[in-house]
Amino acid sequence: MVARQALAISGEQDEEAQLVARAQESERAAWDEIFQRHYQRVYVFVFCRIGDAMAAEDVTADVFVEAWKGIRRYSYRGVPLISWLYRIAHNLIADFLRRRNRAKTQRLEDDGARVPHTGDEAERVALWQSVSAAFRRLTLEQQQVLVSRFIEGLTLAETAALMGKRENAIKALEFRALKAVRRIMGADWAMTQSAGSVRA
Amino acid sequence: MKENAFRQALDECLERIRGGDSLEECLAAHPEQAPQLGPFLRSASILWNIRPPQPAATSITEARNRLLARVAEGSRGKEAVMRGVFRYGHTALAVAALFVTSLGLVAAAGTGMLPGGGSNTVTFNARVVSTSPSLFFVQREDDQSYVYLRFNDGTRFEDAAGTAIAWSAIARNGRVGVEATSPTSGRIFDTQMVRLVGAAPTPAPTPGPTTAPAAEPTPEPTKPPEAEPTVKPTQAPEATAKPTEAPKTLSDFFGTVVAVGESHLVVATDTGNVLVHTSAETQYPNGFPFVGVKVGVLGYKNADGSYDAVKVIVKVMEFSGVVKAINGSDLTVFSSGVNQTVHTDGHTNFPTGHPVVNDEVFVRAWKLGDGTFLATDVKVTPPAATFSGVIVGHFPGEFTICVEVAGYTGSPVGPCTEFGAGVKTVCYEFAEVIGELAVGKTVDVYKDHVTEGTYFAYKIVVH
Repeated sequence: MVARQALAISGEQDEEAQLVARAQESERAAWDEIFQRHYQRVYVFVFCRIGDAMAAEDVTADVFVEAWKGIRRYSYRGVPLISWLYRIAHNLIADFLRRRNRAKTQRLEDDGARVPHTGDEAERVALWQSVSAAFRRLTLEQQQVLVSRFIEGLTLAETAALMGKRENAIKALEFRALKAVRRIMGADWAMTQSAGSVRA
Repeated sequence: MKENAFRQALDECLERIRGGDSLEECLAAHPEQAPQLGPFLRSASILWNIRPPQPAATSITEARNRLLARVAEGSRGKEAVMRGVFRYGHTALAVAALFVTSLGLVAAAGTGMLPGGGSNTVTFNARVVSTSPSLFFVQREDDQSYVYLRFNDGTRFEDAAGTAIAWSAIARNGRVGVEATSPTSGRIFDTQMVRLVGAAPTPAPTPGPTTAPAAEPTPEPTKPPEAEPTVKPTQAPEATAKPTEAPKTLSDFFGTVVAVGESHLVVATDTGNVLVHTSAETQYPNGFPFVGVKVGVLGYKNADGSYDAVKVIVKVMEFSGVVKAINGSDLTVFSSGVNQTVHTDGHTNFPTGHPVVNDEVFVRAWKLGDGTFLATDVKVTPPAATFSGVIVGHFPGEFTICVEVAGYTGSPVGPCTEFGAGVKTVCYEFAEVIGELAVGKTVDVYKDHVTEGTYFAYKIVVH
């Protein structure tokens, strides 16, 4: 069983290594494949940090352009490509947040000038803003684990494969991430819970 | 092993809820841990229940098209850029960069009189991708204006394909310009040289061939917008031929590079700018200098105050410290009692991944003239093991090892009690274990926390 799993991982790695090699040669189809495979996952990761859909779409688009710019310097060593994309996203998000803080502009969503939120929507937006703020205080790996395990619903094994780590390490990361989130968000979420469960 | 039981219950509950059980059912199944489990599971439950909004289909399409267009441009663009640079190197980069200032140097030219003369057709586009250059105009007597563009060393350019263009400011014969490296071929191209605004009398001519055009229709502005540093030797050009008879003395000095040319550097020191002639024999043990970096120069001092460099040593520093803050690509590293600003860029290596706040890092960096650093390598150094010892007992069913630690006099808890004083109880259930745990082996234990006498490890290395 373990051997079969190892073979499967090895096969995936070979395939991804070839995909990276093709991308390094600027092969259009390879980039299309990378985009199709990873866009949604990168978007979710970015959104969880930013909490703003439109900005997340922009940053996600930038992630792939930056990946294209940097692919020649990228060396595939068996760690899934998505980890590299997450790292690019992580850097771009930091830039984005710094610019946003510096600009001190009020987002349309904040002043209600866009589309007025219904009660549920307003609650969801507020919740996402709290979640994003909490995510930003976690380490990159903790964020990855929470996104993979809870937002994307991956199993321990899938998350471990995605992050190139052992399941035990994922468990430990998950525990610490939840602990941190609970500490950061404790008060807000207690209020949310008392107001009833929230569903998107 | 209370913590152990709690984490087992947590794992079980997470899986049950994932499988469809309710939070309350799970809490009811673990009444003893319910008070602790509740907040964790509620946090997890909220994360499960909220879903990010789907990105707009149009955004996905736009992002995909943008990426694929860049990929297509990249393949085609590289050839076009190469041709452009080969054929029009001078004009192109002059157009791209207009006129360059570096560290306060200001250059200028008249409108409609681009260096290179002849056609002003743009054959090569570059765009500024960081920092904001300032553009300003100065009135000429004939009702036309000079246009100035000022930028600094933080300014970055990229070509149409998005590839960074490496450039540096150069000064030659009292003029400044840019020297840019083709992103694809690595060849270096000079721009036309543009006279410094308000330049002091022409400094000593630089020996060696120059790629700058002999005659340049650079207009003289009517008023200099800003004072600029000038190269120190100020003797008249005809008097600056290097003396052949005068004895030279070998000496050294330190300063910050303010301009880099093909065969010279200009180094700012406490007493002014010094022209440093370089040659094929000049040694660069720490790599080539660039504008902004601190250097030590060892060379023969000429009668005119300039130096013939024997060795130019870029100041490279190595230090360790703790990351206190991360601001974009800049790190604040607390080292030897001082906060150091460490810049990173696309060339910085992170062999062990990017650091986060509180990580201990080893930094190898160039020291810049402003006292900050530009890192070549940033390595996250793993924290020292909490303790090391020999495994004297192993209880796989409880994810526990008993580790005898030299110098420790306390008593173990749980299953390790039987081993008596000097032994620590270590739970490895959530640890990354490197190697095979076995009695008699030596281990390094990295502690996550201690609860009721049990050391919960996040990593164990078996020797």
